[in-house]
Amino acid sequence: MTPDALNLISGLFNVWLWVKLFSLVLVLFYFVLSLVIVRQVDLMGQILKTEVVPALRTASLLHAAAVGILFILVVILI
Amino acid sequence: MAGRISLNTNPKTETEIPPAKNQPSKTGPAKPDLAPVASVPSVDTELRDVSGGKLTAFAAFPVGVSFSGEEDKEKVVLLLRQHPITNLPWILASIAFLLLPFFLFSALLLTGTVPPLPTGFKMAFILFWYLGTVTYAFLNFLYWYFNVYIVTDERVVDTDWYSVIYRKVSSALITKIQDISSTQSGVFAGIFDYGDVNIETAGEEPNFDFSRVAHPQLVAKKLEEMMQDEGHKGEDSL
Repeated sequence: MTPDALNLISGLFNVWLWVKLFSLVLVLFYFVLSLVIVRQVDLMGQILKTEVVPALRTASLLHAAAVGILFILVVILI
Repeated sequence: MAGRISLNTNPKTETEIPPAKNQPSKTGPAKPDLAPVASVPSVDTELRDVSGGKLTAFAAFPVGVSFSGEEDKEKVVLLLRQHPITNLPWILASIAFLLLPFFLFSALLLTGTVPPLPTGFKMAFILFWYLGTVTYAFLNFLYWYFNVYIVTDERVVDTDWYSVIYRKVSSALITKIQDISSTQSGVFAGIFDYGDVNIETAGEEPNFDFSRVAHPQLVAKKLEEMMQDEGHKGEDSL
């Protein structure tokens, strides 16, 4: 077995690489969930219209933005 | 503790209680010990007294509230949610989630078993944890806020959100309501005055169960009054 192949195999067993990949996938799913919440608040606001609904829409958008920032931070920090 | 509301109709504004039928009229032989005519608040007045603000679980005649499928002349009489005290489990859980990292890191520092993790990973994990807690609390609040029971001057509407993508909206006309009962069970329900209002309807209309709403007796009383009003309207139109 060549040294390059050995390096590749040892790289596959690098724990931190897997941790980083897992974290990225997890936060990506979390971001998708936050977008679903934005859509859900929109639907809920169509069914029941109150004075509070615009504030809830804004909150859901801020939440999605925060999760997006978290995704970027995970890419940078880990 | 279960209560069945009587069919006594209260007028819409403060009014005087008429004398009982077996009491003599003023033109008849007068009795010196006749009780003075009392003034009682109507159901609407009681409803307004207990009604809250924008984030309330009990809103009577709310302003600026409408719902999908509402007709032009339809007016919302009651907007009900589950009593705020029913949110206590997820609020306590959220507080526990917020405090958990402090206790966990304190315990690890005290025992000297802090894992040698990169600083970036720790920061990302803490951010993820707190944001996750915010998401958990926000979702629970949304389900509480949008799972509503609406009583209009024409019908009863129940909106249930079971998950992010599944919702159920059912409604029944007031004229189709056959029986109303209210139930309060448990110490908390007694202390905070919340319970279930069960509405049985005729025919193929769905039955309703207003679960853990505030002031269930008052809600049942108002529905009974509306039933009677609708009954009188029906008689008048004949």
